[in-house]
Amino acid sequence: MLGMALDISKLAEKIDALGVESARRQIELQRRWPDVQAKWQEASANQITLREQAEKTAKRFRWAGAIPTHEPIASHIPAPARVAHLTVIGADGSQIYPNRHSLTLYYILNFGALIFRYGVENKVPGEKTYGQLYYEEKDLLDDEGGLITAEMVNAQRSIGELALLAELAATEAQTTPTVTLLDNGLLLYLAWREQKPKFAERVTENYLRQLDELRNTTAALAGITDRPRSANLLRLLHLFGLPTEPKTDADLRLGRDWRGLTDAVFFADLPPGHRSALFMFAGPDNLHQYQPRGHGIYFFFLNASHTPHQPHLLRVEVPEWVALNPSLLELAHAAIYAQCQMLNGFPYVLARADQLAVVSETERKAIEERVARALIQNGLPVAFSLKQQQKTLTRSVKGKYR
Amino acid sequence: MFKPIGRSQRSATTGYVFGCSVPEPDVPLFGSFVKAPIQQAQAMAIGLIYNISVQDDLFVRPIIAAQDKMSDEDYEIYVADARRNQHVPIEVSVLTVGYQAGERYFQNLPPQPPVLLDEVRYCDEAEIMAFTEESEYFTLILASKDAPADQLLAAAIQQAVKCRPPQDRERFLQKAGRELAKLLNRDLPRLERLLRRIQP
Repeated sequence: MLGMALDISKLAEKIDALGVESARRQIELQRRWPDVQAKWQEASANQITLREQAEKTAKRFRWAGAIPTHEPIASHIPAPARVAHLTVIGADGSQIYPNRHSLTLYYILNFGALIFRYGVENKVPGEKTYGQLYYEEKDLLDDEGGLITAEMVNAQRSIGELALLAELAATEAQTTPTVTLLDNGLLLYLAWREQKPKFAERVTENYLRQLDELRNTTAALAGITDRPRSANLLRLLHLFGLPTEPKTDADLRLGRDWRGLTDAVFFADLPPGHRSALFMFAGPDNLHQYQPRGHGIYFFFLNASHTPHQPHLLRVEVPEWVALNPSLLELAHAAIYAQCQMLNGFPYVLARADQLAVVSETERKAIEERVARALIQNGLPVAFSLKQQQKTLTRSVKGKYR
Repeated sequence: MFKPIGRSQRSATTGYVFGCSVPEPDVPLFGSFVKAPIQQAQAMAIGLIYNISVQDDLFVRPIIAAQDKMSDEDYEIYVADARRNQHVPIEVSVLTVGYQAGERYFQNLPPQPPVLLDEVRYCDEAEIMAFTEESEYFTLILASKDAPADQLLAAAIQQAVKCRPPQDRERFLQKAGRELAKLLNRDLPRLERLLRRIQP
């Protein structure tokens, strides 16, 4: 029925209300900042105690907090000078998920990377793209015979991104200091781990192997999160404020007063180019899977803006072979900040890698056409599921008469 | 056969628009002969590129604005990336001037236009020579309301000349000149301008 379209006027009222509510929430959150910041200063004067508390808690609980390192937690560390000869590589991936309503089952991973070389005569950055089509049973079904899910495809994509960085860094790092960047955190997010334990184990092992490869190249690696929403440091501060040692998971949950806040609260006054102290992520996957293999994940915050009074906060994750190697850490810090100059807050190589990797709607259609042709050539019937046909029909009609 | 230079985006019997994204040296040329499949690839619509519109993309404005923010040496890397690597989004308009079915060329409008996302390619020299042996397509160009007709016709004739062996060029030009004189005998100033444009 054509009259069932989205009622924009009704939604517009809600959107106005959303604007008012967002502004109210922002004011309310900022009202709590001074209190939290004062507690952070207090905690920073007790770093040894804080670190011991955090280490103990991380051993006893599944706790997504943070463990302070050798750096004072209130540090503001300026960007080191960028070395004249430097290569920065950004990689990103995109995908077409398997769709059981499609013509046939397959999925596609597509990768793009930009190799940006400072201080060389040939100024044209290198590009690399490649795509993979997965259509065999071993690719499409998990260990229990179920169709691979979007989350599982995402994990495969993360492995592919690291593999691409490792491949490119193997050449670049032989001659030039090299920093490799990913547009994401470095810890694989496997929410489905308990439902698919074998698959999760295999994926994690492949991912760790790619981290091994990258470490062997001597290049640095960093994962960048723009607009971070993490609260690992708030959890650390909450722990510090507990009157007694935590006894249950419930004791570690953030109270109502701090809900909605993020770790950004601690870095509002970070000057351009400065980074925070390093922290280790205290999550169990990191401590039990990544750290034993020498890939424990650390993080810091960076004000990536090149304009005073317009801060742009990034969360930067680095594996321990970067975090605990001062020259690699400095190299990564300087490289990320230099890369953020063009787009004032986000690394250029990552924006370009995204552009190279993305599968456009036109390309999706072209692939679908080719798949249809391949099926027809092999004498197979070509039909979308009835549900897909219905969707296509209703959407095209809606577009036509609107 | 040349590789595809783009895919059709919008089409009509009289012409179509195709989109492409190519590095700077490969941007299509005004007046080039191109072809696109029609009637389920049973035939090829032949057309002339008459407008090339270069769009900006996400990176162009920041790069323009950033010139004073960094050293010239660093800035040149971004410019080199934008000009040599980044696939500039381009919309190319084509005037249809005929079609090919089997071995035969027809200098009138095809029975169907290309459909969406059909691959567009340059015509090779042999195809241009064969198609331009007749001059009836001149009328389609001169009657066009969208294309800059005189400049497009001159560019097409010049291209057709270049595809021919040197000893045949004089004959071809004289024939084209005679055809133009027939078509424009009531507009002598325009004829004169066109004849000047096609001179080698």
